[in-house]
This record gives sequence, C-alpha cells and structure tokens, in this order.
Amino acid sequence: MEALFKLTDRKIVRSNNFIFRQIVEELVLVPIRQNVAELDSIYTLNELGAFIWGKLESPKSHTEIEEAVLADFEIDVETVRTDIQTFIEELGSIGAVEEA
Amino acid sequence: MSLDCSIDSSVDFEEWGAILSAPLNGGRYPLSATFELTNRCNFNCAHCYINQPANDEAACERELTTEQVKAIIDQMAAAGVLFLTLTGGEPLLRPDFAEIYTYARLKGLLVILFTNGALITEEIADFLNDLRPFSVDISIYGASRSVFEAVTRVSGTFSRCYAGIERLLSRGIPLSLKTELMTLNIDEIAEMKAFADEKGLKFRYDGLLWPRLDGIGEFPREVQLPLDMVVDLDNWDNERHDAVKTEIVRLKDLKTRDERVFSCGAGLRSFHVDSEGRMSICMMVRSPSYSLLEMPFMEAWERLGSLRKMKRSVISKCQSCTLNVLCSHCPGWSLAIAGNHESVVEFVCDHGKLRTENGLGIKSSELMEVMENYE
Repeated sequence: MEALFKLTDRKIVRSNNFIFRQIVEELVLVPIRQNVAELDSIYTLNELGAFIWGKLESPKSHTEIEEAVLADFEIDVETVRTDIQTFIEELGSIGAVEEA
Repeated sequence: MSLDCSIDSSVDFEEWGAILSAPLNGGRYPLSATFELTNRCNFNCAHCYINQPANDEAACERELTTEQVKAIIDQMAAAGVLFLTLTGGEPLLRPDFAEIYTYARLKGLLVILFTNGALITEEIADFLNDLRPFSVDISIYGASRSVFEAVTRVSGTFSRCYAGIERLLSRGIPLSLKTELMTLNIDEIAEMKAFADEKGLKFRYDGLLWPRLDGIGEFPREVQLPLDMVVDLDNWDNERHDAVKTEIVRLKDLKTRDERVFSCGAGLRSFHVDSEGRMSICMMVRSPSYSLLEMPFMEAWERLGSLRKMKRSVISKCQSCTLNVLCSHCPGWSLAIAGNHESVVEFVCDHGKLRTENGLGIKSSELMEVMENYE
C-alpha cells in the first residue's frame, strides 16, 4: 500500500470509506465502511489536512497536491514534499484514499 | 513551517462520547439525537409507554415519509449532529428502514439502533455488517420463553429476539442489551445478566416504568415492581452498587442546588425528534415541541435553548428535601403525570427518598456530606 503512494506520477482519489465532516470545531473523517483499518475511530484533520482532502475529491498526483499546497500556504518545498508523502501514506493506511 | 497534518490524532468513539458531557466552551451544540421512526411495534409489551399496533393504519399515516425523514437528517448533519439513535416503536418495521439508515450513515452520522431484535434477519444482519452501526441496543424481556412472552404478549418473540442477537454476535457487530424490570420478569434478572456476561455484552436495566405518553392506562403501571425491590437492585448488583458510589462522589463536588427546571443535560448536546417530526428537548419531555416540517432545524434548536434557561417557578418540597440526592425526578415525570414541568410526582419522590436512604448504607459519610451541602 505504502509503495503505491510513493509514486508521484500516480493519481490518488478519496475512497468511499470515509465522510468528511465538521463537528463543532473539529474537522473529522468519519468511517462508514467495514473494511477500513480502524472502524472505531474518527480521524481529526487540521486546516491543511482538510485542504488536501478537499483536493482529493478528484484524482490528483503527488505533484499536483504539492503545487496546490504551495500556492495556498507559505511552506518551503522540501517540507511540503516530505509531509504530504507522510500524510498521503497515512490516508492510504486507513483506507481513506485509493489509486485513481 | 511544517504541514502538521498528521492523522495520527485519531479520536476513538469513547472520547467523542465524553465530549457530549464536556463543557465545550460552555456552548450548546446539537451532537446527539434520538429519532423515533415509528410508534408502531410488532411486540405488545405490558409496560411500554408508546407502542401502537404494527398494522395501525392511522399511526402509519401520521409518520414522516421517507423524504421527510431524509430532509430532517440533512439538517441534522448540516448542524453537526454526530450520534443518531434510531428508535421507535420498532424502527425495523418501516419498509424504508434500510434506505433511511443508509442515508444517515452516508451523511457521516454514527447510528445507534434501538430494536427488539426480532426483525434482525440474516439479510438485515448482513446489511448492518456492511455499513456498520455505532451500536445496536436490543431489549430483552426475560431469559425464558414463558417470561419473555408474558411481557411482550406476542408468541414467537422470544426465539426471534435471541436469534437476532446471535446474528449480530456472529458478525461482530457492536451490541448491548437492556431490559425494563417489572413484576413479570424480575425473577429472571440474574439469568438475563448472566447471558449478557457470557456473551461479553453490556447489560443495563431500569425498574421505574413510565406512564403511557398518550395518557391511556394506569400509573403507576400495573406491572410496576414495588419500590423497595427497585431500590434493592443497588445492593444486589455490584456494578449498580459502584455506580451509586460514583454518583455520590460526583454530587459531593457540586455543592449547590440547581435552580433551573432543566438541570440535566437535556437540550445541551442532545434533542429528540418524534415519528411525526416534532423536535423536543428530550425523549420524555415532549412539550414544547417544534415541527421540523414547519420550522428550520436550527430555529427549533435555538427555541429549545430558551427552555434550558427556565428557572423554577414553584416552591415545592423538592427545594427543601435533603433526601433527593439519588432522586430520578425530572420535568419529564412532571409533564407526563401533571402536564407541567415542575409538579412533584409522589411515586417518583418516594423512590428517590428510598434510594437515598439505601445509599446511606452504601457510602454513608460522603452521602451525609452531600445532604449537608443541600441544607
């Protein structure tokens, strides 16, 4: 699974295993399907996580996500690359994204 | 600057449950709903406060349509509701149950299903397994067929209920059991509890029976246990015994008596919607209520908020009572029996006094301290 998302030219997209919601002041991913990694947890996202989740409504490559983040947030390129990689891997490990 | 968008900070459901009772900046948030999809039921329980016959056409016609239910769920989801309890009557009686349930889950609501279990077929169990509920709560009314069906007054309900339980268990669907205790089934409380323990399921019960919401019939109910037997459950059951201790310790820190009519959590994080779309502050307090067919959800929610600010207007014996530490009296009882939010219901008062007196034997010194604070 992890190797799949390291290929920056491959596109990924949201799976239908989670619903993104705002509950009070929290931005959360609520699991709905039984085949997700941890059904008994809700995953909280910060503003940037929610931004990336928003972009993944349609298939995006790692590079496209990176460009979108750099256009909207003041972050250096190296940090973005590493952190997006980690974040996407985490989304993949809980079944929240899949290869488009 | 780091992205810091790790999703390691997952929050499990228990923590979210705790949020429901936490201050949350002191604000009111509609996080948890109970939604009665129907008043009809395939059982005819001796103690029930709401049931109508399963094939009651008039009751059926008054129910919300599928589209109306969905429109209300839309508004709940938009308002931030996370926990949705689907109840009845028997919610699985509705032919559109699966459609409604699916709709709510795909909106990201965590659904708790209150059911008698008898309609949980293999097909329904597979359906729930695919799109899992947060929990299913099944009411059991006895450990033997004769006792169970003396309560439900419908033949075949015992085996169908227990088959439903097994179907959920075999799929690992989150399940807990509960019962209402009454003269008909008190002799099987130990067996019911042992069954739940053997299956590794939570089991809760209550022994104070509500009057019927439609005002028909007697109160206290004909099958109501004597109050001393209800109170004695605090001594018999270790978990209940410990819960009394915890409650006394919690009350010790509160110090003061609350002057509000609604000093409970009703309407703070939660609300109720009945089978005709009326929203109220809780399941037992159905007046005032606001029709979600005629009023936007948030407006109804705000109106319920003003109810929470209401101060007691009647000087009753509750204000000077020091024996009401473990009392179950609430505006719901007053409304059901006297038609207002404050009148004392003597039967519930008697239970509260007995329970507090019994509590003195459980945690004497701490309870005395709470009572002194009350004075």
